[in-house]
Amino acid sequence: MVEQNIYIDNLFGSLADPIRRDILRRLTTTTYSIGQLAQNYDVSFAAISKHLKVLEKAKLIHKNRRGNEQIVSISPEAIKDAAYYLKQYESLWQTRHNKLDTLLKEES
Amino acid sequence: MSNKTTVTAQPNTTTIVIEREFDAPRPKVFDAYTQADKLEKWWSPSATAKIEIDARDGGMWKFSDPQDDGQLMTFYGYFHEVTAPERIIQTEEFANIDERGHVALDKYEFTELDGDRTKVTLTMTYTSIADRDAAMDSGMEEGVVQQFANLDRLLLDA
Repeated sequence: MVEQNIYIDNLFGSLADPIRRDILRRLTTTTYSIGQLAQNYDVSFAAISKHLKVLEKAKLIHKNRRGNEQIVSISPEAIKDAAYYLKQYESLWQTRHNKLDTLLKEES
Repeated sequence: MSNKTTVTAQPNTTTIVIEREFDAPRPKVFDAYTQADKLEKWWSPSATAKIEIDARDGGMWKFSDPQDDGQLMTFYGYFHEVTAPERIIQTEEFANIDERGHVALDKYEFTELDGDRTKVTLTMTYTSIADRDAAMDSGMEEGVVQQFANLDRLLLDA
């Protein structure tokens, strides 16, 4: 559980920044080189590179070298895990509320 | 087909919003949220859980459940406002951690819908993003435990 907590902390931390969220949104449809990605933002190449490092550390993206370029793509497992995480929390409340449905029905 | 519970928890915020509709009139749903004998039937996944609740402005509530290791798990808080049958505002704190001060503010809104139905919106606001995420972590674990319990029941019935 400890390792998972660290993973989740990284996940939320990596999504905290609007640029990081936007990078992820773009990567859901296609892959980009770091240079292509950087062109979309009003910040330095170094800043984008730093954002990508954070996302990579949280296992949300990975980088592959193609010639002189680094190609960035999204990691499907990471996105699935984020959705899974929220789903487990939701299931706690769904179960609770289904029981309340039963109670409300019994009383009428 | 049961009604769907939706959870909204944006990354990097301190809130969780939980919405759910019930096929029952508002006063009845409100009672199920504010009376101990009713809450014990649906709130906790555990049969050993005890709920004390004094649902009025300034009143206290306490949820405790003995664990297998002998520890008593306790959540408690105070009611800031109880306006039947439309709104509850209360504090919430987990008593089993050494450091005090990780308090959440819970707001329940009960909205009347057509056909004697009721929508309940719970907004939980934590004092930090870390506290919010920690609350979701523990809820996630409980959710998994419940799923296995449900699965066990399903397998026994089959």
